[in-house]
Amino acid sequence: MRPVMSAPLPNKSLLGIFGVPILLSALILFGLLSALIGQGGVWFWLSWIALIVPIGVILWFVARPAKSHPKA
Amino acid sequence: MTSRSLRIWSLTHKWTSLACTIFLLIICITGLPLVFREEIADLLSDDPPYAVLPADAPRENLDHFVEKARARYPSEIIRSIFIDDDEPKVVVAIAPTPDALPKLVHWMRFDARTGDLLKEIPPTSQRPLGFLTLMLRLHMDLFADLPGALFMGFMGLLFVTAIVSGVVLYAPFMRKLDFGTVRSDKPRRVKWLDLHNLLGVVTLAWGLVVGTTGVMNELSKPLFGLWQGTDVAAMLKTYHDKPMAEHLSSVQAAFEKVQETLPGKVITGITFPTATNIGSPHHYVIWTKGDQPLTSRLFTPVLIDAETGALTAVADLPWYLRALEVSRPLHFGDYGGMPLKIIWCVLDLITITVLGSGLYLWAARRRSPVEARLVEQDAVTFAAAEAAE
Repeated sequence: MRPVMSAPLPNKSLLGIFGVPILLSALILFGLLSALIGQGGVWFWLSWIALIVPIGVILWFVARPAKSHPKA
Repeated sequence: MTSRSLRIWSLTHKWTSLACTIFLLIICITGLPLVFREEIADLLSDDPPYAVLPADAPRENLDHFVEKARARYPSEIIRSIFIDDDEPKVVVAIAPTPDALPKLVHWMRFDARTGDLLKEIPPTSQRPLGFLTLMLRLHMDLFADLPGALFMGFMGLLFVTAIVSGVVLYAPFMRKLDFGTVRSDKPRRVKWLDLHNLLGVVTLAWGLVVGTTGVMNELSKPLFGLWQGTDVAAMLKTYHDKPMAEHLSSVQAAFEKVQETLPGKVITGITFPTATNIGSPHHYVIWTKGDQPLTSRLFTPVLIDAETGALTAVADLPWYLRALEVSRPLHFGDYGGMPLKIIWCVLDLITITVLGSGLYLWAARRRSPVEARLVEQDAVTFAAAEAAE
């Protein structure tokens, strides 16, 4: 069935909007601190991985083909 | 969100961004080469390599460097000695007068082991402007010293405000959209709005950290001045009536005393008695640091009486200078090897894209108020939903 204009999509909850950004921000903060506080070695690797993930997320969504319809 | 608060946040975002964007673009662009300043400095350097000596070759007595500098510039004043813990070098800073401007300070660089003079470095005022200095000055203070630093610090504060208000505005713009939606089949400004939101919100934590630590760095001079005026002044109370130290005791002895007192600390430099700069008129200030990734950023100065050679105080830095010290690596991105530097560079490029797209969105849509944009946004969303079914 086709949705009609008079039945608007429900607004997302704040968690729905900010869930992914909060996760990625936590990951970035972890990445920034692990190389600083950790004693090199594995902490460097964890830092690099934690900071590359958000960059990868951006690349993923930018490279993805156009998909403008929201999921109802 | 009420439409009134929406308007306020929108205006905040618009005006803080507009006021700082051009300066932030300068900061971000000059910041790119600065991330790799060590590598670039090595590349641009025409210095011969160090003499090859065994790794455990003993280091030359520090008094030797002082004597050499004094012999060469008998009428000038030694300001400080920098002891590198990375390369085998010792650098002596010399100024024509005690109150000489920083741009008149010149340096003698020695091999720390052989004691040989490697290079005389003329004052910045007599040198052609180097590439890295140009980048650094544009980045830090636009060649306007302290007023420039405070201005750029204020721009950083506006940038942080723009990020915070941008996050608040992210919510109403995304209430119908999935995270990461880029409507690339829609008009160009809709696509760029999505990209601006996506790039901005994903890198938000990095932007806030590098922005606030950048502001902190711009306050470095006033913060050290505050410490000098309070804690250092209190430590020097008993010396209040004494004249400036004249017959200086051995620097090497002061160095060794600190090594004994604080084993495990690395000594990175010695500030000579000064009446005009950060330091003490009666003491050598011996700068020590830890040897772990974090503690190597935290300095503990030790005051050694410059005439008697006695230890006066181990001066733990106040919290605001500790904060400044921790903020340095977090701003420079120089604490996690080459991969972290490359990541810093990419995040900087993303920030440039956010700034540029923000400017574009303002230019393209400045005539429509935020409510109209949201209404249009919803209309686009619904139309898209219908078309897709």
